[in-house]
Amino acid sequence: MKPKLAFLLFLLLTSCSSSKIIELGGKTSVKGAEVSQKALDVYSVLSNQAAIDKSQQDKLKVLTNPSPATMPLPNTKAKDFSNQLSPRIQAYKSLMAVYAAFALLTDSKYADKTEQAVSALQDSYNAISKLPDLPDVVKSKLPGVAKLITGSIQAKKIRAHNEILYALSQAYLSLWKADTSTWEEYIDLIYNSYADGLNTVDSKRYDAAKIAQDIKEPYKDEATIILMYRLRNRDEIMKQKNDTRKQLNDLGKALEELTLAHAEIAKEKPDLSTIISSLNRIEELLKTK
Amino acid sequence: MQQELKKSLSAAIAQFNSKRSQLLQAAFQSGGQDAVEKLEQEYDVLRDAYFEILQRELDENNHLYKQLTDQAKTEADNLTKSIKQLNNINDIINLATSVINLVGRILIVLGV
Repeated sequence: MKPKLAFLLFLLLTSCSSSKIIELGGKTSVKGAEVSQKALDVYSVLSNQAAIDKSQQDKLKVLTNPSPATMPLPNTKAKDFSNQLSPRIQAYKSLMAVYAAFALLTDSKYADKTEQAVSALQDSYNAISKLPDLPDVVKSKLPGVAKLITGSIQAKKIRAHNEILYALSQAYLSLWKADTSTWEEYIDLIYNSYADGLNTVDSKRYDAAKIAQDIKEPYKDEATIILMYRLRNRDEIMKQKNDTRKQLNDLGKALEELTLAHAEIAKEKPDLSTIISSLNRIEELLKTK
Repeated sequence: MQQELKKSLSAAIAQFNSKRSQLLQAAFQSGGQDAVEKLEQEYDVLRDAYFEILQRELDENNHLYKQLTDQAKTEADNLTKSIKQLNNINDIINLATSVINLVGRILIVLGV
């Protein structure tokens, strides 16, 4: 009787840690998919920059041309970054597929289905009148024990895959870090060129009366109205630049937190609060724009 | 070397933009619209060269992203195998139930 009790106690203890691993694995898979999607969104923003740059440079050419009446229609050729973006987008699409599969592995239904299946098996067995009925102890405990065993197998698999996901997310993070400064320089050049060039446009090109129609600010003289309009324009351009840079930055931080969460789950005795804190941080980073 | 060139290009682009209207005005006065276009083309060449350097920096990591894609695909396949193994546990129990049901029916038919 004693070995039986010890076995049940062992299964019970394993079950507590198993259900924790299954639950945390599930939450991490959701965040992993969200981080992958965020990366795809950031690459989409980056792929739009070529068209934005072309449009901004064309505008500058018109606004700074000394004789717009005689100039040809500008058609700036924007540098195409699709060869650089394509392998990166592909890599994050694959990561997304990994987390979709990991979400299925962390589904809590497996253990419940085992319990139901064993109950059904017992019912079928007991329905055969020629066969002796199962003892009551077995009848009441077997589905639960089977559930614990499946949970334990599932948790073991989650832990093993989590170690691979830890290595994988680390690789994604280090490549992201290697690229970040280049993307920042790309964004800086696009928006700084536009803002700097726009600053030199002759004030005579602006119609203070038209600007005044659209704004409610209490300025009377034309020079102030035009200057305030130009300030607002410059601020908007800088805001666009900083928002894009922030998205790059936040994605890097979210990847870092995801790696931390995987590292913690991979430990023999994971610290629940560290994992939850990383997952909460990812949520914050992804919701802010 | 590449970093130095990038810095020089960035400084030249910023300098041009900070005096863009004046420089184009001077070009227009000396050579008309053609001179303006030529100056703008030179500026575009500077920007192109800068972007080219950025592209080369990114290209250095392209093959690593391809490796990463392959690793991710392998892991997705392995995860699918693990999911199948988990499903197999329940499938085997369900199969055992079907077998017992069948045995029960046979016993009834045979009147044993």
